[in-house]
Amino acid sequence: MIVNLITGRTVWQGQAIESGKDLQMYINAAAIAHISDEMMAQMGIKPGQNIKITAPDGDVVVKAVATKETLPVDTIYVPMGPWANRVVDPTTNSTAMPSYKNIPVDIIPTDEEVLDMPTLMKVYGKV
Amino acid sequence: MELVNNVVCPFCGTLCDDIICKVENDEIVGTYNACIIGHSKFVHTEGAMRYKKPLLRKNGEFVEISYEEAIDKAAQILVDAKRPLMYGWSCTECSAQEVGMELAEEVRAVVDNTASVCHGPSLLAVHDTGYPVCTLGEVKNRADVVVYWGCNPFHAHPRHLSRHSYARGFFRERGRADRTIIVVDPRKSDTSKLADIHLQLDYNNDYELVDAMRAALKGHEILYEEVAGIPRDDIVGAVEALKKAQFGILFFGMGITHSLGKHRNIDTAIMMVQELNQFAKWTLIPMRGHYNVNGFNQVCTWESGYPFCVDFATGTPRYNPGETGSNDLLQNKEADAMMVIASDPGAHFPQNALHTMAEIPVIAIEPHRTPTTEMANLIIPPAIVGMEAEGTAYRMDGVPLRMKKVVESDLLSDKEILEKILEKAQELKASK
Repeated sequence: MIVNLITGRTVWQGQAIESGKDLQMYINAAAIAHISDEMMAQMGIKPGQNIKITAPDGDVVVKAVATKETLPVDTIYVPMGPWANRVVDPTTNSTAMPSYKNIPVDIIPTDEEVLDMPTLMKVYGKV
Repeated sequence: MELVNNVVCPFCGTLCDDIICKVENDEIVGTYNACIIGHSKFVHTEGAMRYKKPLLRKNGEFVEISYEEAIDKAAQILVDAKRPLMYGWSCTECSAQEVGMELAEEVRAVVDNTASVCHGPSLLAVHDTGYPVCTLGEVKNRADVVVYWGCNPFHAHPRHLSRHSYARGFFRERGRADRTIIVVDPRKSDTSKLADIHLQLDYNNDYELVDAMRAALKGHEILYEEVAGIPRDDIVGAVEALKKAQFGILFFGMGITHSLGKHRNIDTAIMMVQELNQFAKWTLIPMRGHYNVNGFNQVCTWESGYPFCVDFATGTPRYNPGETGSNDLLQNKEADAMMVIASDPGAHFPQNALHTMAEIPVIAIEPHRTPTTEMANLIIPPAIVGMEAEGTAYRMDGVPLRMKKVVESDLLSDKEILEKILEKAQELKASK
């Protein structure tokens, strides 16, 4: 299902980055996608189930949660962080600024696990 | 228990200056007045890793080394690199940033800060169109129309609303009741729920909406029934509210800088504010994120003439965002070494920039375990400014405030670490 992805701050993501990015709190706050009830029904998923987001430059598994800030139709919101940044549009359009908002992505329900922060960063293959 | 008063919070650009820290055995154990994010920064959370010794990556594992070895290694990496990138700077104080600029010039690096991924487009727009800014004190005491465009302070700057928009001011005795709050956001954000007027525009249509508002402001008829998904009458009604202000303020954030059009959205928004001054006093303030992101842009400008993305490769500062931005250099695989200080690009840069960070030597001057330290070859832990080290920071409106040292630390400050790396880099270059 092709949807529009917005990324950005939530107060819980802010609390988590200042508490510790190696804590479960960070996963709970940033490895999630805020989705409307209607979209979840359409996808046949419930809050707490995992979804896979795929974009031209990467993919990521996050947990679906019911949004409390009503979103435009066909839009999901993923708090800023290393999970969201797997699927944002890196293009800077010669402005130095990548595109962190309004990105077309594909989402599907998945049984794959959400990776914790250190495991997620290993995807990049630093040795 | 000791109470330390009037502490400035080292989280966001609101720089709340009324925090009270509870200190026991030289450790901050609690706070009064801070928001949940600021409180989380001041107080250590059980289980979170705080680095106390420098670490060097060897065969995929980190091993402890001395500060002296870490400084030598960092200087060597920067001096050996052909195209070093020095990024971050927004969570440290201005005198550390000043030393950083000298180091960048010495090793002929590109120096850039987190504005690259937040208000960089605003800086580009300020070059084009100007900067009709005021202070947050003026907002509190004078503003009767407050616009939050593409920002959600309820979440990102949690005390911004209570300190400046809901607070009683000299000419706004009833506080919130004396003000009209307008929010422009495609989401029904928690901030929009507090607004008198919510313009729920279609995403990526900020430019079109500002354009229609400017047309209405100039007395032209809006030719379409709706623009950016907003009915014509609602746009005209909002413009009338802006015109009737005695003192208006436009706060704007990532919703407009990250969306299609980027700096061109800000160009036209600034021009709207300028045009509104034909009807009322109007000003703007960008909602800066990191507490001293503004400070770096100030320091960088007075040292080099440019606010960010400054390239010292030729020995003379050169400025070309889009080529000399951190993401441009990393994604184009141009940077061959990176020093990160007081920020976390590992968490906040897109995947294609991180692929390069995985391939090149990365120095992280960072107190905690973060996605950036997972990508680092060398970690140098500093004392945390605003808690364990003092210094100056610039609030989002450009007012400098002094950050306090609340507790002692055995760790070197950012400034001390940078001074030592600079000294070593000078030595290495002299011996070449």
